[in-house]
Amino acid sequence: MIASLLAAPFLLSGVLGMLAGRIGRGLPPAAAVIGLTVTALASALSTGFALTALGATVLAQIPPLAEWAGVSVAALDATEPLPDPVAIAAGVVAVVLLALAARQVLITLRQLRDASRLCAELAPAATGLVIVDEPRAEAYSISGFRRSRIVVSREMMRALPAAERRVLLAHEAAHVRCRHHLFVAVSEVAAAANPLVRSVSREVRVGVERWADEAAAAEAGDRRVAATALARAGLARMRSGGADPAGALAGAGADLPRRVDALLAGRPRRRPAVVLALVVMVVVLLGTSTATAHNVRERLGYADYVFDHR
Amino acid sequence: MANERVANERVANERVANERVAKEHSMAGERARAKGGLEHEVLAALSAADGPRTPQQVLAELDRDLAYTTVMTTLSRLHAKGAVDRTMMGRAYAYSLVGTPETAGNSVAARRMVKLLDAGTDRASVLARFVEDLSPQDDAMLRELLQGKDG
Repeated sequence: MIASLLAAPFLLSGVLGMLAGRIGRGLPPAAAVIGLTVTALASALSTGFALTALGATVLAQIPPLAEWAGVSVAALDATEPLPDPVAIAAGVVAVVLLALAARQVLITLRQLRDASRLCAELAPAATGLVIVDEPRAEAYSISGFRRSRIVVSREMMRALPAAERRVLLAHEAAHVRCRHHLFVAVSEVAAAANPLVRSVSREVRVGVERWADEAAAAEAGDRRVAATALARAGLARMRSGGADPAGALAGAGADLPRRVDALLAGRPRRRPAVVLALVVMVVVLLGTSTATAHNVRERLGYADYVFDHR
Repeated sequence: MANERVANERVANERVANERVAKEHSMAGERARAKGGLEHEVLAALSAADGPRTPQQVLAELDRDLAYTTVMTTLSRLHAKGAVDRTMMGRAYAYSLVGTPETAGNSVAARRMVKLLDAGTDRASVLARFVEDLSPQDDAMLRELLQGKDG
């Protein structure tokens, strides 16, 4: 029973990882992004906790540590749900994944700091929109800790008609307003801590673009114009500056056909059943962690008792 | 009994007042967003132009159902914020984006930062491009889409 309790978070994480794409395409983008991010976070916490619990209780069987903690090695060994080598491996994996997650957090903090600095440098700040005189058609948003800027080049503005400029600006404004960078950052940390849900962070990335696309289409009142804005901006970008090696390597452009198709296909349908399934998954994940914690406390309590009465 | 009724009425009135404040806040939020959005559209229109533009010209360029006074007010506001310059052209002001030296550093700073953020192995979460680079297949598909609309 305990072994299956420990296995559950990994099984659920695996399922989440496999279904991330389907969930991302099936739900309206805002629900998909929020739902996937929260569920990925819960899966990272619960798998991390399971690994740590296994590793810690085998660590406590090292005689000097057991002596210091006042627990009986024999009692801990007897109540072990999994063989020693497995528990030790689990402990090692826990440490590695924690280190990777911490590294991702540091990377994100550094990026936020760099972005904040850039925002402070760009002038004028009055409207949050910065127009740069670049020969390359560019449009992006930069989000720091508290400051954000939308940056567009004159070349991009000249390439689009007024209605499509409006779509572009509304899209970037949605990124800033809804703090999409935080969802991306959290899902990246969750993916670092739990590689089984790597696909969730990819899905969240395109999800925030879809979310901003939907906001822009609503603002413009015309989904077709929103789609042509993407098309024209994409072509203008290629025409005006050639491939950007980093972007091409990351395969980031692969999302564009999906975004265009989604805009042309009409407003996404709500699917409360899928949202409910994610909520249930989060509850089960946290539930297994709670049960595991209870079990660990019991084992330690028993080992403590045996130690005291030896 | 009467005291209870008075107390209930007061609670009900308070609730109605709170709802009204909340609605005003969200409506005010929407209006603020719309104002901000229009400022951006006006700036964008000026940036696409090859010279100063009068409010009338900006209104025509925006291709939207707006009042002349709305555009004029937006331009004045932008000027007050230091985001646009204006010169007298006949009887009207003509507006243009604030030029160098105020904005001279922007291109360099932005380009440097984007390069830094792109240098990492993964895409930075703090940078969100409107569109990324296309593959050749995408190129063809998108051209078709545009031709469908304009053709």
